[in-house]
Amino acid sequence: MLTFKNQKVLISGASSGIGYSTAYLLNSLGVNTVLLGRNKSKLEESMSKLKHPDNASIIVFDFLSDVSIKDELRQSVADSGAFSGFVHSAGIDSAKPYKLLKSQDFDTMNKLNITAPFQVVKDLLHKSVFSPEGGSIVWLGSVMGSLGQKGKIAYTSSKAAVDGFVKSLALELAGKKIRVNSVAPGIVETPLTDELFSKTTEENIKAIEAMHPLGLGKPEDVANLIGFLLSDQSKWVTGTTHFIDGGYHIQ
Amino acid sequence: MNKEEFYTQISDLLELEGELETNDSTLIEDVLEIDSLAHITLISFVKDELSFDLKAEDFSKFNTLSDLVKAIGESKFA
Repeated sequence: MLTFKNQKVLISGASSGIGYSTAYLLNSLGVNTVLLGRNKSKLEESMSKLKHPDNASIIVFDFLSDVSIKDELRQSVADSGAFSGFVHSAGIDSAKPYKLLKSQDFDTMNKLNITAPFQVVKDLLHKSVFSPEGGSIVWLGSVMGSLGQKGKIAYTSSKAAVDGFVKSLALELAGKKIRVNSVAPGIVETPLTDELFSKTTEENIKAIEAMHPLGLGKPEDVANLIGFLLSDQSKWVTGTTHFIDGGYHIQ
Repeated sequence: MNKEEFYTQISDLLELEGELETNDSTLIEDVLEIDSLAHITLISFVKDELSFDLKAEDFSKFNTLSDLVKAIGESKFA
């Protein structure tokens, strides 16, 4: 049984997919859950479907266009106390062969996967915002951060950067009892995957499915691992990338 | 970009020169069979250059490159 002592967790990309499943799991286990996303109505709808919506709130924020989240975080602390965790689950898909890839494609991918959420973490870790007792940060990487795939140069390089990012941040934050880990899922059945599959053929989709010995994942499969990494039971786990891919990367 | 430039760009991107002549009557299935990345390449190219969203399943509706141009909209090819 996972336990969460006085926890309040901010989750990006919480309107759907892995982010929403994580929010649902944590909220069900009594964690104060703050859903972060671009679209207010989608966030409100997602929050209304949680088991305990009265123990949840939303923050509207776009990593690609908004600059600061300080005011929203301070208001949240005033409303329901300090944060003890962050899950960065917001993501976009990109499939372009090298001939069409531009430097802006890398910029967009890296901004969403690393630099913009890093600024959120900096604001989150301010002593007036984050719990002095420490906490846990979980980043969504990808099995593609360790493998290659045609058409995914910007995506794979950015997800590979996540693995290095969590190692160094974990070392810097260990003294504050804040753990930092990433999870590296294979293909999970989410709206983002639907978008990816719409650009490829039925034959390729079957080939991708065949690469997962245990089949494609469900968002809740990944949420369960994220939940563990946020829980009191993972207090000795930090700086590590955790594969959860139905056996994809071991072949 | 006019229609001829569009066809030339497709030919360059997919390295069709010597393999396939690109014009109105070029068969889409021949273009897509040239490279395993052809679907993604065409979808990305059309999105970036002509702001038109294609899906892989759309290609089954086209017989020739001319059909693709008509679906995107002749007016987009100045």
